[in-house]
Amino acid sequence: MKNCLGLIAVLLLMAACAVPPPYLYYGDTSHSYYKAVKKQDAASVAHYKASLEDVFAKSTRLRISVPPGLYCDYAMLLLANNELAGAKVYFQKEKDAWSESAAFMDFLMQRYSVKD
Amino acid sequence: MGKIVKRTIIATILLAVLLLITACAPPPMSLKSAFPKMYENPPTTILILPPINKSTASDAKEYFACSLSEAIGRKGYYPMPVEATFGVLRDEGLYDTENITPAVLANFKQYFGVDAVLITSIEEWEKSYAIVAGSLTITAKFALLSTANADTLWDFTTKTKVSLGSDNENFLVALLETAVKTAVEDYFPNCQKANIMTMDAALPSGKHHPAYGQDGDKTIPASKHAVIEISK
Repeated sequence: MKNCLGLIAVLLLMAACAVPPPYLYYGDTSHSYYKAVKKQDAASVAHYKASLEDVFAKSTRLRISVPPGLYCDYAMLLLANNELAGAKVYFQKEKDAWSESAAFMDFLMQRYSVKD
Repeated sequence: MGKIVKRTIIATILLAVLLLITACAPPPMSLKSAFPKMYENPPTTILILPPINKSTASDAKEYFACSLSEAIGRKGYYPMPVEATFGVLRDEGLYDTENITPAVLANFKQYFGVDAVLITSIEEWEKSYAIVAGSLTITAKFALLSTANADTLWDFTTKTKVSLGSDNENFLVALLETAVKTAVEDYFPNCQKANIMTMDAALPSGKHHPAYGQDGDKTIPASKHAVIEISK
């Protein structure tokens, strides 16, 4: 009986401490984007790209959506590097993740000639 | 006896003054009564227009431009991707927000599916420095305009005060630290925090936010103006 009460107490404590997971995780992307815009050097851009990849990985682990716009931002980085096929994949990911982006993603794919 | 009468009179006067002050301060407003259009026909997609910089700080525009997307996204809206949209606006000669007309807004709706645009005006970006106390004051006005009819759906003003002083007990070290902090501080995190706090406090939650449709009774100052204090 004592053990049972102890277990219930622990369970109640765990339930009280459980914090709901964030519904979006942005990591360091905004700050690293600012640095990339400001400095415009290869190191800052690489850091920004890595921060986006970190968000993609962590969002998958947490089973939450990648924040709006970040797949598109990644596609823009790939475009700047002339990686057209990769850019298309990420424009499409944005469109699939956020249906309201469809018109703009189609426009961008057309504009940068990455659409079929 | 005289003392008691005197104290009663003073207490009565104090009470009257307090009541007068309370009566003068406008009561806070609910989000739904302050911004009814945000609940009648809530926008889903928001295009962040390049901020208008009326301050003397040349960096202020980029601080805002790079941090607003996260603040809007966290509130449950779809902010159009900033890097891509700014590129399009530049190429189309629409980078100056002051020149955006209702006809242009209608085009954003028709071609990109944008429901509203966010106009940000940086009114003040002032750094002050006094011996071991430094501070930054940012005042910004925000407005969401419908792309369908150019109606103002939401507007709010925030004054953010960031304390930049040093807490080092050694006076000379504190003096030096405050001077260095005020001069070379990376202000981006402050601006980002201020924008997130502003949207969190005053912008009704969007479609993707867990509180969507449930925050109508949340209150804001009737002046639609708030002061945010950030201490380091």
